[in-house]
Amino acid sequence: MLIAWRIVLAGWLLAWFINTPANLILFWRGGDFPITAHPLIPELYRAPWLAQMSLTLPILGAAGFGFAHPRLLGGIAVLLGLCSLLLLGHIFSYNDATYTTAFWTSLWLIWGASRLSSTVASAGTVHHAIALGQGIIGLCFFGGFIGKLTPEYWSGEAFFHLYMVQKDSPPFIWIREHCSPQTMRYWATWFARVMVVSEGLLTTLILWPTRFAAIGTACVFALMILLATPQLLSVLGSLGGLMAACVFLSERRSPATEDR
Amino acid sequence: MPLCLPHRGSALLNALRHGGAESRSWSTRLFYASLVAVTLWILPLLVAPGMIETVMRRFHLSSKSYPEWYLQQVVPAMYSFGNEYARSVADLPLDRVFTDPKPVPTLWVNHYPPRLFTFGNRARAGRPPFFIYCRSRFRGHELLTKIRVNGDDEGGFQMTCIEEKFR
Repeated sequence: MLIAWRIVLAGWLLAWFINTPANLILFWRGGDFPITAHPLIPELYRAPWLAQMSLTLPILGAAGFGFAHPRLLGGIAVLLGLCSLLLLGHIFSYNDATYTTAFWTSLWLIWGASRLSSTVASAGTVHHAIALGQGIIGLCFFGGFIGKLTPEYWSGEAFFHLYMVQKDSPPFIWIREHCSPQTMRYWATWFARVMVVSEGLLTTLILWPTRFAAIGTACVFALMILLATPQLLSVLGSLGGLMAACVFLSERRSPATEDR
Repeated sequence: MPLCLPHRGSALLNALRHGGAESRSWSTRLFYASLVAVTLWILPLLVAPGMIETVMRRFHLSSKSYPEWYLQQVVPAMYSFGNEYARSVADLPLDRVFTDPKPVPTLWVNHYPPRLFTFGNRARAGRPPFFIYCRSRFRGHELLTKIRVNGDDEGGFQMTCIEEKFR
């Protein structure tokens, strides 16, 4: 269970720190141009220092690779969850889905850390660790799936504008230079529908056998990162770590995992 | 109990059948309950206009209270709704901004349209005062919001929501 916990931690930290240098610069510059009044967001959650602190504190999570004391690992997991929550409420970072997936993954880490006190996890714990992990991934896609069940997505209008017209990354620049608006709209429609259906399938991930869940997740993640944007790595990384841990746990065949 | 290999069956069914004492743990039950609760929170979005308005207000930072907004922040909503954003120095009628011919350029946003101002380098936002307009559409409903951005003496920005329409 400790190895699985550390796999999730690795995915979490990797995803978190992929965009951290860029975000730190943004938040630093944001401090030069602060939002000093907002009808909804209180002053504390507009303070640049809070965003900068929440963004950097998870570096302490690296201690989880060197120590194995369950209480320490539990404390690390709580710290990661708190930092995600703080950034979800901050005006600089509320919109970044990185912190949504990080929050749910940190809940798994908190739950998992409380199961690390025994040297061998029971089979029951392993089964629930897998189901909860796959359940979290399914839930993260469920919100986006329901939010896309609207003509703006199904017709391709949203993806046409978001990617074909506005995106300034190599494949879309090339597409704009070589394809007519009609062709771009056609591809945007099918791209959108493939994404909606894929996300819809992943919402049921908790019901899938883990091997199939891993294959399905890997395919959809790859599709999203390659076709949409590599920046999604920060959003999907923690979920990828969670899926990898589920695979690791499911492939254990030792009778030691038997329920005692 | 015979050894059950988790990769051979549904993850949830395996957990239910072979969960043992772990199934009776309060923290495990609470974890599942939180997954179910968030799922049940999201589902009515398909049919309830009140829910659509609540989530759209979350996206436009115009919820009735900060706790109401903050509680929703843990609910995944990546790439939801058809969202657009516009900015103008002139005070334009909210209904006109997103209808053709558009008086100012508009941008599509994957989620949270005000993020084009709040996230990132506001040095490029231009000198205040100016206006930000947001529109979110979902299954025939839309929320339109107009935000006035003023400057203060210390180089900061003051955001005030001055008009909104849900229909």
